[in-house]
Amino acid sequence: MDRKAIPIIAASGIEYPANEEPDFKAQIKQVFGKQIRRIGPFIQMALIGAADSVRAAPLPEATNVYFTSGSGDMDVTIDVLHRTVRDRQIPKPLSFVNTVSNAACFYLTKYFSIGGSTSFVSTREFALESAFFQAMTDMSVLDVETALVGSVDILTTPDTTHRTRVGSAPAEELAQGSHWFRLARSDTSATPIGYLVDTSIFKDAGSLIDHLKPLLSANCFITFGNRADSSNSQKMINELGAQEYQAQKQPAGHYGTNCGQIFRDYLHREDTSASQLLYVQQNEQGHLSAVLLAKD
Amino acid sequence: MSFNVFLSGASLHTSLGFGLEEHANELRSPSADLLALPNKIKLPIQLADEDAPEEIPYHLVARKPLKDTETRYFEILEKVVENCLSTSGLSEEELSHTGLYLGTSSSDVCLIEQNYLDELKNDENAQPLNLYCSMDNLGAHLRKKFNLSPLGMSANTACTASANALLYAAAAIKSGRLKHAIIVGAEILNITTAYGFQGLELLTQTRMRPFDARRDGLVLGEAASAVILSAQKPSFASIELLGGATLSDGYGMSAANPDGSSIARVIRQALKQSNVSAEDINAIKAHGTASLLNDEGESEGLKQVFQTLPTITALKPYIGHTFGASGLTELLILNACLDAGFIPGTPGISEQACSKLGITLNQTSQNMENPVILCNQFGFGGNNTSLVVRYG
Amino acid sequence: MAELDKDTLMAELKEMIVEECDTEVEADEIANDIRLVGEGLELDSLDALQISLAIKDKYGVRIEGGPDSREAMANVSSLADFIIKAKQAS
Repeated sequence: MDRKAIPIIAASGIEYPANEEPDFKAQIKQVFGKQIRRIGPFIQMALIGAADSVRAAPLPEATNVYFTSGSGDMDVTIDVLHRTVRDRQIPKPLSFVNTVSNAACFYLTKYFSIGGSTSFVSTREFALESAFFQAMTDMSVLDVETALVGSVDILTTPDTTHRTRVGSAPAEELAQGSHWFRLARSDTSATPIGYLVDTSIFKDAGSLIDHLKPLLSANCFITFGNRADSSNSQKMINELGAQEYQAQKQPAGHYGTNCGQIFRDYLHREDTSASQLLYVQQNEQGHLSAVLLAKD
Repeated sequence: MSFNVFLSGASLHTSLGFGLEEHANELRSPSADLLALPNKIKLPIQLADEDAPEEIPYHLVARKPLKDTETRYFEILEKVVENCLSTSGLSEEELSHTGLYLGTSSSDVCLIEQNYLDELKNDENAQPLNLYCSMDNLGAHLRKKFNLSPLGMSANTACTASANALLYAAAAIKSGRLKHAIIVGAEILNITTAYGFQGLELLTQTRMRPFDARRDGLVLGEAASAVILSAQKPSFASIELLGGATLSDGYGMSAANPDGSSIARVIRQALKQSNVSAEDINAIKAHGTASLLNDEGESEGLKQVFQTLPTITALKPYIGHTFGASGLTELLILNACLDAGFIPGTPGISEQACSKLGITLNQTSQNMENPVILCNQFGFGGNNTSLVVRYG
Repeated sequence: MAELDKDTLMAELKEMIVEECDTEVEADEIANDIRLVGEGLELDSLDALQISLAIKDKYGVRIEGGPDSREAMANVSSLADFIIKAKQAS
């Protein structure tokens, strides 16, 4: 494996289609053995999704969290906007403090004893990519032993407004999910389930191909986000010589960070050893993001 | 590994003025007015509660009266970024490889509020957030508008956001992923923050007096700031980011541990990462929010790290708490003052010392050449950040 | 509003505390004299602010910061007394 590739030693998460109404409160109680007060679905999903990755092995003190979301905790924002703009009231203190995007990081720190830093970073349309990018960057120059990279995106109502909020097409299925990836230093004693080889953003398909071609192995799968246009995609398939990835479990629907489901699908299945997975998404401007994973 | 990256093209807009020079001119011999409670303003949405105050003190950015929320928002931010880029000396080609890192707490919530308010006028059942939600909407807009690199991101870690954006970009430069980055701090008036802090009873009705026995809360402030970060030292005297640290604290959602332990820890790590010892620090730019708990935690933390406290300055009494923008904005105010050869003081603030805290802020501007400075930022969600910079 | 009956009011306040602060205990498990903030029900200053705001919304009674509020916020019984007294005074 490439010396610069970062071992992924665990991946975990949850995902639900729009027609399911999971009882997150009960799940929190199951995962933590007790109730955690004053948190809504967004933070609950962060904690539930991260738990298995955290508990896969003891966390070193130098553990950083890189948390992200496509659309953020829309629930608390909606609650605060109802109070302030519609009802012209002071926002409820417990809602207001949770409007900071890094509110979930406080609970992650408290309940998983995170010893390093926590952050909330995002790039429009490329949320999970930005968290991977910063984790990779920090691991290359700082003394970070473990990075927990995670995302959460939730469902809101009503359906039509939700589609505007998350940028989905009218007929597209909707879903919500939380996905977590535990990155370790290259000298880890744990057995990697895969590697994060590279992640970047490119102005066009040509520069993406130029950059990635030297990094790809003969056995490379490729898959695209919902915004990628088909002519670009075909060009990449042809020029990179990659074959389209067929997930065992596709994302249940659209949300900003549903690529996390594809990454977990790839990392956890047994029939993809000695391969790579390239995920490409496109933004409004036509820029392309790439995340390249690999397995021994 | 220390960062050793350099700041240039500093641009900022606060209640003190626009640009470095105006800030230095105001702070060289500050008038008493500058430290008084700012003018009260009428927020775009008035509370229904009859006994709620109609007006609220707010440090608006200078010469930008409140009107047309959306136009005002983009004008303030674009002007600061444009000014930064045009004074940076970077070519168009270099700019196309320059990554933008935005640090903000409230992001574009003022536009979200305005949009909802407008829609409610036509339809009482209108839905809030009837737009594409991303914490990076502004970042994406600025990248596109100024033809910057597609790389970059928004950091939303409450009051440490722009300080953290600086650290994230520094790591990207150090690792070779980027040659240059532009860091932007943004915090524009919005009612979520204003009424939210009112609800937390953290706003003062007198003056913002950090570390003072009379301290009773903060004043809200707006700011926009931008700076270029590069590995190469510019030909003129500038701020060098030696290093820094950000650490997470599980003590409390809205305050750092008042025993100072978590703050001492982040300061120590920042010094270590910067290859600097506590004795090397010539001055400290405190976070200093003038809230009871924050000042307690910060003073305890400082006393645990420093046997003898160096000069301590606090800038929020002048511009208010500019939340996510405060880390970068206050650093650039220091930059402005150091270009003019001094560290600013806050006459009268902390004069009535709080015995429990034992911190006295610098009272008058003090000439200082090439100092090494520690800059503190602490935020909601247990996010604590310290930066170590050197001027020269 | 008709004069408030203290028992009814205390029952309402317990429901309110459970709802606003998302406590693990049920309303009828909260004793009238159990301490709300700190040891006891283990609420914190944010909970206290949340309860103050809910009381202002529902009863129109403002609990300002300072010693009076700490005293009022001691337990459900003292909260009810504070509200009744404030209502009578207005």
